[in-house]
Amino acid sequence: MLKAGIDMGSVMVKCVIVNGETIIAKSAARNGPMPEIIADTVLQQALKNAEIDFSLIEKIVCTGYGRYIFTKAHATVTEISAAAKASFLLSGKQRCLVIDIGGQDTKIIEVDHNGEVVDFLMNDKCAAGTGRFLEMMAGVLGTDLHGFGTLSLKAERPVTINATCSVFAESEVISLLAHNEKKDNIAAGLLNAIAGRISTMLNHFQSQIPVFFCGGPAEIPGLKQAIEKISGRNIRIFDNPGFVVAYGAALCVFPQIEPI
Amino acid sequence: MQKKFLSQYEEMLLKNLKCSSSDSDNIPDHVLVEYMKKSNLSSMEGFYQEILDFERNGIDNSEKPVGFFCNIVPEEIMLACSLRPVRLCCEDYGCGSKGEEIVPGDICPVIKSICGKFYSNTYDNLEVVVIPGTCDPKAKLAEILSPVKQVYFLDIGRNSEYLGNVDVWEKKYTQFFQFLKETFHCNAGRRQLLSACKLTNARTEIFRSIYQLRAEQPDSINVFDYYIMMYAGFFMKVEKWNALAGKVYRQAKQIHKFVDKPRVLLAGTPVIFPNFKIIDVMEESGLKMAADLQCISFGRFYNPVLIDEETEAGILRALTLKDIAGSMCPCMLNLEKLVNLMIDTVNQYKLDGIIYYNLRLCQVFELQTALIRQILKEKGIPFLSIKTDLGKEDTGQLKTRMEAFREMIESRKV
Amino acid sequence: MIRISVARRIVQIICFVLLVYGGYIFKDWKESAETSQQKIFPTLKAPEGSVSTTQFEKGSILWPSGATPVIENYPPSLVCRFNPKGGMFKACIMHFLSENLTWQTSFKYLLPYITLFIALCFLLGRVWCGWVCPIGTVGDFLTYLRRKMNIPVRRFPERFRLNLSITGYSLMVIALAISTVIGMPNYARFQCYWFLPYCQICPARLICPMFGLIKPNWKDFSTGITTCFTILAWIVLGLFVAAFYFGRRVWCHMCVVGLINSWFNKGSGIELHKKAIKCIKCGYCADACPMGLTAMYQLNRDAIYNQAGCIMCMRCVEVCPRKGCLNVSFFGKKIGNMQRRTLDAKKVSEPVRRNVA
Repeated sequence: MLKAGIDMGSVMVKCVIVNGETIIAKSAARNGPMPEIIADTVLQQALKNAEIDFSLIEKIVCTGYGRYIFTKAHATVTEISAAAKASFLLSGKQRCLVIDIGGQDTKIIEVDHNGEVVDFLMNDKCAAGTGRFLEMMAGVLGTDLHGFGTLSLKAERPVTINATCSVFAESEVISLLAHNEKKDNIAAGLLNAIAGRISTMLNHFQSQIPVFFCGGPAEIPGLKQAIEKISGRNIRIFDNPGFVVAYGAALCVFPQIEPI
Repeated sequence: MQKKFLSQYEEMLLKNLKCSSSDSDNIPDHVLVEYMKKSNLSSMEGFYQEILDFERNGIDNSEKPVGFFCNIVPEEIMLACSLRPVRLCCEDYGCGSKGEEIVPGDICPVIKSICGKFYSNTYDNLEVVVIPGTCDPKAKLAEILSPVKQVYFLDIGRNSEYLGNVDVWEKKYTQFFQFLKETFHCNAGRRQLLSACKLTNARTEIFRSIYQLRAEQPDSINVFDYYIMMYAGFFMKVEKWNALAGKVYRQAKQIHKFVDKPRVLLAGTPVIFPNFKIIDVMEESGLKMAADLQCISFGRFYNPVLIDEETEAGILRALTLKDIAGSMCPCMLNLEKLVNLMIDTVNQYKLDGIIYYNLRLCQVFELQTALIRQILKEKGIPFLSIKTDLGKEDTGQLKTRMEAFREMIESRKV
Repeated sequence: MIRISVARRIVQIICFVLLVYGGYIFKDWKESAETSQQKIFPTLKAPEGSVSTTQFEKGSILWPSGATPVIENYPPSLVCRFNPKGGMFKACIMHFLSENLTWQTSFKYLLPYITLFIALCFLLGRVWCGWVCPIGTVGDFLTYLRRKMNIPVRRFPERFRLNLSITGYSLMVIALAISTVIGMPNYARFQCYWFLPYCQICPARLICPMFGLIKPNWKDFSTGITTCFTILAWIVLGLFVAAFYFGRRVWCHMCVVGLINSWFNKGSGIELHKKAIKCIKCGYCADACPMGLTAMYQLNRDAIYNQAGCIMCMRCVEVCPRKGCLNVSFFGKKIGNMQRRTLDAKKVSEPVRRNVA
């Protein structure tokens, strides 16, 4: 059974095509002003990668903030359920915690040994601690997300960033740059600030549950280590962390999900 | 007699305040009509009409209206003095931004809205405003409002233990009664108090029936109608409210609508018209608010006045027990009973989960969230805490949470 | 379903009438029982040579009219012997104990009375005090008067109530000690004036005959001892009236009969339960308790609550605003819904139904 999962995030649109439980193709593109067209393009790209025809796809499940925009989808699911579903399968069907850093929010999901969501935490309205925040800060430092992570790994003496609000953090970074602080120290400081927030959220959950990490920002080098250091827990990153939610959406065909 | 706060500087302040007041253009008519369309009960029309009148014309001065905040202020005492209690709590985004001319932006949104509303003409006819010392912002509000209105500050001990504070509360209520009697030259006593209690007990009875009905069949009276009724209860006369609510109950009882959507308990900050964002999102996400533990509805109406000693002092004491000792206001030390009440309500009506609603910047509600979360998780009750403000920009995020919560409940049940 | 406080008033009035005027009502039955000598229990007779009521002079403090009780059966609590014409039964437990300690009656004769007393206590605990006691009924009437006159109740601190029960126990020990001592052959001459020392100062000695259409013996200044007893009785009566008028049932903390009954409160058939999760700590129960007890309020776990001071008036159950929080059970069987009916939602019976799509 061929299914497609589309994760319409605020930054990236990701699509995964699965056959049963195996991924056969995936594609992604940056989200922009016409999300539906972008989603369609991404889906076509994935179909092209998989070398199959659109008509063969039985179900399209949409998730992410734009899940109601894509009218071709048969069902929608929240990214929380999708992430939980995927993580449960990818983690070898065990009880686990999933950290999902998205473009505009950060979630921690507790999945029990049946693959059901038991509890989840989400950051508040504020953008601090999300992928968008890191992207902004990388922009201030004149690099991209990956370069930002590499910078942080070289840090000798990470600075302490006090501001958690993205706007104030930006001005703090600029003033630090003006004081001739090294970029790598600032980058490490920013990662530590985010890791601190995530650890605080993590500590709402029991400590012995294994922790997994997904979402685009999971690929940033140094972020995982920073969280591990602050929270004192071992964290594993899934392969292709950016596609985990889309994969989960493709698997999510709950009977109770209402068709659009 | 209560002395006026800031009496030396009154004129100075009044001058500034009058300049800042702008014309009231925030009548939420269209919002109201929208909710009216969603209603499936013809008998609700009366309530909508009342609210429209109130928002357009403000309070009429026919019956010596007295403004008050919180359940802590005993309505029965005001009713006994043949005054008309008007509850002033307000969560209006428009008023809130207007209120920022007087108070800083990052404080309690309720205080902001009230300040905004006060300098429009809605509350012009109020004779006295009674402000209880429940939370810190309320205490300052007493001073902020004192140049424009006569303010009575009802100070109470925040330890809601009966044993520690009941005598203090009784004294405070007696003083308040005395104040009203002197200010309005009325000769109220035991008989008047008793009949006022009878009136509010009748209201409790109707409310309990409605609460029970909604807990079993949340769609019989939809959630908007429910909160509209609660909002209308702010300023309507008790007899009128009772009559209208009784009509609504009788009509709603005929409708048998069983929903297979998850039914949840809504606790936390009150949902006050027009700030229906949270219940809007809840409805859209397929969650049914079946019961609530909020101060404007459950807290205000659910507990009756049970009088043991039918003396004046005894009645005042019974009122303190209803209003203060039994209160669920997070300003007081009552977390244990709040959690108990949540668990009990969930068990009693077989609800599926609890949504705890925090209005941003209301510290007392926020502070206890983590503790409640911990306890309820141990008990295995799905719990979602929502923190938001009066603005509408985070509706999408809220929806994701609520839907995820619904999916979580549904996957559990399967 | 009538409210529990109304039910209690009715029971109190019926019991008052039976205990005070019962003798007049059941006059015929009484007389036939006397002549036929048929008695449910063996009659206790004073041994030869001891003080009997007939030995007292007409004006003596103890006996208002010189008549003896008619049917010598014990309920055996809270019935005052000093209401001889009206009283249907013999006497209260204090009277019974004092009398028999003085007479040194054989245990064989006492056994049925004691068994009956204990059995009733186990069955009902201190229900006697709250529902039956005739002087409690008089006191409640005084409380009612005060309420009508809009005078606030006086509330006494926990410490004060504790001291009252200590006083009660001291009184009991002293009274029973005197009764024992005057029962000894060497001290038999004191029997004439010291007989039934507790009864002589008990307010019921004056109150019950007053209502029982007999003039109570208000004063006896014939000797020093009787003068003392007369004055003490007046003081105690004054305290009794004041205590009930200003402070609801404070008196009952000191009442010796109540104290004896209270030993059986824990483990009696009637039990008060609290479901802690339902409690919202409003304090109505503590406020309404006529004995001023607060343990019910303070309790933070599910438990059976039968405190020694509790007179089982069930007022707390009635005023509790939370349905199902306080319950009464009789030998483990829950006795209906005792709360105010009007405050329940009208259609509660229907269980929550869900249709599954």
